[in-house]
Amino acid sequence: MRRYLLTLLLCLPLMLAAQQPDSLKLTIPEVTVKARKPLMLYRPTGNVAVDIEQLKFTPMLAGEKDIFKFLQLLPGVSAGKDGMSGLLVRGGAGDQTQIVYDDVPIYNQAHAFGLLSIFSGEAVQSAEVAKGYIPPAYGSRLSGLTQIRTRDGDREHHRQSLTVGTMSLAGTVDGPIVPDKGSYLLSARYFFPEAALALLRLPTRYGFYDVTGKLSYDLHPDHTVTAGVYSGDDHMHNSDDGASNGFGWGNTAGSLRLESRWNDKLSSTAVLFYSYLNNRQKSKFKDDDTQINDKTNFKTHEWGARMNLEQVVTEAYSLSYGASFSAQRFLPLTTRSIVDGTVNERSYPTQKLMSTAIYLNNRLNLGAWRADIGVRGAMYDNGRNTALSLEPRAQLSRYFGQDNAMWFSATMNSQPLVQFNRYYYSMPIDFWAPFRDDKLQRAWQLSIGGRTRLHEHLMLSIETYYKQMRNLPLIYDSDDFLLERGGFVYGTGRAFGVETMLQWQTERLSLTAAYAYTNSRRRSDGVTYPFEYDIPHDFNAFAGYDVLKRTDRRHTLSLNVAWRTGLPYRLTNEAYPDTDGNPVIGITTWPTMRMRNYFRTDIGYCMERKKRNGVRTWQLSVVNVTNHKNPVSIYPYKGAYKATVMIPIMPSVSYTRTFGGR
Amino acid sequence: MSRHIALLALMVVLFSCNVDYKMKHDGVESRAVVNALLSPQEDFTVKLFWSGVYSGDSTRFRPVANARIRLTEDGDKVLDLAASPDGTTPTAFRPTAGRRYRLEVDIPGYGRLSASTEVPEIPSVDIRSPKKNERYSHFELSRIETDPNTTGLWITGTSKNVWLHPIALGRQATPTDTERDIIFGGDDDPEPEEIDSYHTASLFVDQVNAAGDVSDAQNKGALVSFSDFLHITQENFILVLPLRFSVYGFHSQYSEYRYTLTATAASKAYDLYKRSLYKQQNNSGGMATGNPFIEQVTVYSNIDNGLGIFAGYNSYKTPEL
Repeated sequence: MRRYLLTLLLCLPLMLAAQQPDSLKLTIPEVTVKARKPLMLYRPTGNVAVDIEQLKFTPMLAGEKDIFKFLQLLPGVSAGKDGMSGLLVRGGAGDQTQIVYDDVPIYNQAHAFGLLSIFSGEAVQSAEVAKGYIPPAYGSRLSGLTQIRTRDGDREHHRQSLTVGTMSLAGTVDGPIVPDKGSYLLSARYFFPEAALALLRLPTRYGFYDVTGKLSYDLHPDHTVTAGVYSGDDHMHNSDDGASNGFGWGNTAGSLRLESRWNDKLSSTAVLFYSYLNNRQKSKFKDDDTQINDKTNFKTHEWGARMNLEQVVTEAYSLSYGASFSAQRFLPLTTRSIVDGTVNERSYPTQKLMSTAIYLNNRLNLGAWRADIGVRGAMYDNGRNTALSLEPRAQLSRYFGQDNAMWFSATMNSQPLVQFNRYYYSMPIDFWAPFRDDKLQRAWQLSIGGRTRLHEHLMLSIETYYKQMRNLPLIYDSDDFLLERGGFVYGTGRAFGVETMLQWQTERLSLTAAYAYTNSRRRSDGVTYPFEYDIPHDFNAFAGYDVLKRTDRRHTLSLNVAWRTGLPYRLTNEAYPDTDGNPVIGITTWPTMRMRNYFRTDIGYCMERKKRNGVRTWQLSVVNVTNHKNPVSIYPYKGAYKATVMIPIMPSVSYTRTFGGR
Repeated sequence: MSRHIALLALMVVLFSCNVDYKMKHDGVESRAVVNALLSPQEDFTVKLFWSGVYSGDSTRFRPVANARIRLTEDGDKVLDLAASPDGTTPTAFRPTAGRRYRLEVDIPGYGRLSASTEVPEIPSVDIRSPKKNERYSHFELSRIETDPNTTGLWITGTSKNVWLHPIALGRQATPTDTERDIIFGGDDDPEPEEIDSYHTASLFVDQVNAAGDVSDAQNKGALVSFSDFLHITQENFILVLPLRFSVYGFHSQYSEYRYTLTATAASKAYDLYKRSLYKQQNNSGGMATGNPFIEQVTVYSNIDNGLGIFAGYNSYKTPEL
């Protein structure tokens, strides 16, 4: 601990030395941007905003414009396993990152077993990841916050777009309801190979779809109401001759948002939301003598409300405050069986979680200094225990002109939920449960960082952090855990890291290179070991070059290169006999080795052309162009070992045609 | 169901593949391994070996040449003997259901290994075979009664292709030698074989070994197959009833399959060991090939200061069905 704090302090003078104190102005003057837009913007502290419009110029996996695939390349963020849709932030587990989609918490962000995220690139407007300072308005996760926003429909023109990718077909329509007063947006995506499977009358089918809708309307020039809805589902189905079985999972989310500006100094946002996750499995059989109809569900419901007020007290002092409430019901594994009319039903105990929070954030702008000092007070009730959490959070930024800054933040977070996997495969069919034993997961984090312009076109960002976590439920038997007869131990964790990012921007070239050092450990049963997804060295570079840049045509060549240390793995070369004398592999309960280092290069070429009535875009991508064999799992095989590679070389193509608009 | 999920996931993950992987072979410090299962149906045997370096099925394990074995029953010593130098120490001891046992093994220069377990009462089950079709025999499990020490019930079995004498069936036809070869593979009295696949639509059966199988659903009565066993956890003993399942067996005018099913009441240690062992096997070797979602599964062990298992079980075997 002291070693890490010392390192944090040592980084401070280095970053101070990099600053150029020339101006104390905080406002960013209006400029005519000639340079290519950067893919992302690094903000205090440790927070990154991604420009979705630029995503179409990056290589795509399976022809899908997937925001999560890009967020995973950010320093301090990882996918977990290659190709999956997790967002693991700064040595935290997947469930320690809150994913909020238009103000609604999402509990399973995976389509296609994690290969894609549920957020269609056609509907998303912005994405922002908070790794360090999480605003007090948000809580209930230890490590990170990812906010995804859908775009509003165009308020002037009706537009339509159609995208055909390698895996899916997506269509979007948007436009004004009343010109300049309201708009609509409807976007849908479908895994079209399912239709081919159906036409071929194959007994096995897989598919997914998602639908996103948004209505926005100005009730008054100062009051805008927005209604959003998302529904998506993945399903696998086998059927043959009177018998069928299948499984699936799906999210439904809805929100109603009222944004009001009461006067020049006071504005408010009120949100009502609902989120629903359903994991299900079913089996049917019928013949002359027998009729069986079995179904298992695992449901998570949440509904809640949030009220946020922004108040400008003086030019230098503003407040953000509000309250939030949510109620969650977890219905784990309800199995209903009907055999010849006899009904058997079994449910694991239903669990509840009521979360209430009030928060306050004070923002001070004093010359070149900016401070956020806030506190979040949360109360969590699981029906048996009530746990309180007081979470002070603060960040301090010092600006040196518009390009140079340094910042420091200290945050405390708590988490009343845990995600676990009932199956013994790490698949995105995960379940959630509230805290146990009056013990919330808790963490605190210190971050220090800064950014500086080294050259007209070159920007450097650097940040280091130390995080400690406790009361982490490490679940080793999910059935025992669900039945509340143990099945888990509490552990602790810590993570330390340094993240750097270099961005080079010219009129035609955008280059970003990011490196992150992470040291993430867990401790349980008296043993300290590397976290399952600990990646000491993680390097990513993204480059985009406009080969052709005219008013009506644009061709962009893009390149992503990723290199990182292999993931820890729980496999030894020890074996011992089972009761029949056959070898059992001595797999320990904590990692004992690392996979070989990861390397991937993706190339994309995007051709965009303005047509008379819209835009046509072709996107060609080759993911893992060097066909590097990056393992996602290793297993013993006939006295040696084999590795499964999820993403070898993967070419893809997508075509987008938009109509209408300006 | 999990394997079914993973296999079908591959349809989406069209490009996943498997490659050879070189592991660093660090030196392995050998640990003592004791495997000893207690059942009223079997003489108690203790197997003592050292762990070694994995080299597939050809892996050989050194026996623990010098050790002392002690077994107590509800606190009273019932066995105290020197371990056999070849690693396998047979005894004539059979445990009593409902009792608690503790095993201690002292290995000079290594230390003491110890573990405890209960032996459950014999399970009382009703299994009948209400119907057979051309390729499958259907069974119904209609009653399960066990004692509180039983945490899981394992259904396994053997099948045997039996020659039906045409006169006994009132038929005139008798098979030719060629037909007999086809039906019996040249052996009129084959040895019973372990049943390797069970089919049921019930979701109250543990899905750990389940896999989708899109063939012959009407004959099987399900589209889900369970490898090697049906495992029912204690909390589902009532809910799973009536459990209808089928197993393969080709029935002709000359022969039919007959089955002997075994219902094994498992102590908690036996249950955890068998289930985790299956999970590890399912996540390694040929079973893992092509599956990007395999996980590293630690096989359960209740041996203090060593590896292996000491666990009780009690089995009921049906008459030939």
